[in-house]
Amino acid sequence: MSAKFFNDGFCEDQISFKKFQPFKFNQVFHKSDDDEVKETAQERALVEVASQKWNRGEQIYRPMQKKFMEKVDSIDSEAANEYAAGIANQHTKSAFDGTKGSVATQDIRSGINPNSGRFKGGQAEVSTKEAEATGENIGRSQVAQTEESATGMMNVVALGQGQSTKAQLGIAGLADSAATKSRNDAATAVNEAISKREGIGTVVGGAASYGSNNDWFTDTKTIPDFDSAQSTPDMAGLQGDSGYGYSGLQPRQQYA
Amino acid sequence: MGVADSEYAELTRKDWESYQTDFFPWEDKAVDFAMSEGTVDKALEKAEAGISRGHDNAVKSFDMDLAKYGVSETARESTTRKRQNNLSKTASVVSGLNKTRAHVQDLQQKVMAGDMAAGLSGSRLTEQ
Repeated sequence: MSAKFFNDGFCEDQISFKKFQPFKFNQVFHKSDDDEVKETAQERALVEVASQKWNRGEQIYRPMQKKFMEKVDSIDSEAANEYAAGIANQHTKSAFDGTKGSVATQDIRSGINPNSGRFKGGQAEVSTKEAEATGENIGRSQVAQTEESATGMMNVVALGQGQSTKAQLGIAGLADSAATKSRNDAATAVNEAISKREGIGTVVGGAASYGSNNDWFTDTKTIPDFDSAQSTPDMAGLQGDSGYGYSGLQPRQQYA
Repeated sequence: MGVADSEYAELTRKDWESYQTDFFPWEDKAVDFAMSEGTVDKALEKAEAGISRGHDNAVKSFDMDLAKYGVSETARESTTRKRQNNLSKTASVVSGLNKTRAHVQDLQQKVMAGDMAAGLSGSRLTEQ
């Protein structure tokens, strides 16, 4: 049996489509004569859930957020800067104390008189390297504090927007970096001092030349690498990186 | 307007007020950090103080280091070493300040461009 076609392309079996009336957004269907649009159960449930999320955010997450802000505020404080400088100084001094001892031992074993200009010159040379390294490490620690503070500040801004935050080193991380840099600088200094005298190679391994090691912002972990920085789990708890953090709980994202 | 609607509107207002209270000051700080000349100046000041202090600390301990071996510098040796240390300190300060300036200016760019976490480009200030 062949279907009968109309001029507009519909066949008889499809005629019901022609009768379909699309929904108009401004069309209001009334269950009664009352003009007011009734709230649906879903609308009421959404508001109830949003209220509960808001309350939970206020009770639990907002205090945590305040604490985080306070911590970020303290990163670049005078006390924190003093602490970072002290750590950098201490690590450098400790690394170079060993270096000066190594150079002195080497000189004495080679028969150099400690009261000679050669011996004192060797110590002076290492001392100058120590001064350069200490100054550099302390100066760098101060700049690193500024950078940490900026990262923290932007993390707070990101938190408000419900975005992922960047990893921060923290003071412990800075101290660790200062120690690594000091060890490298000290190792380099002893190598230079001894090899100049004896014409020999490396005594303490693991360090590049002082020149290449002298770059403030590229050869250590002191400054966070922003390209490779990842969100940390403790951050995720606050800002929702694990899928349902503070920002996700708030109705804020509805209009963000 | 139904109860749910008005409650949701109230929540929206409260949320925005809370955002203003908590986060506007931080957005202002970020803008100030990125735009102000003072950011670089402050970093330079801190770096210079740190470098000088570190240098001086290390130099001061030299006499004690020699004393461990029962020797001391002659006046001439001391003068020579101090001159060398001063030259070295000046070079360290100049080099450190140049690097600090470049680095902090980069940092300001990053904050403006949004490379650090949200950055100002992702801020509500620009969304509004």
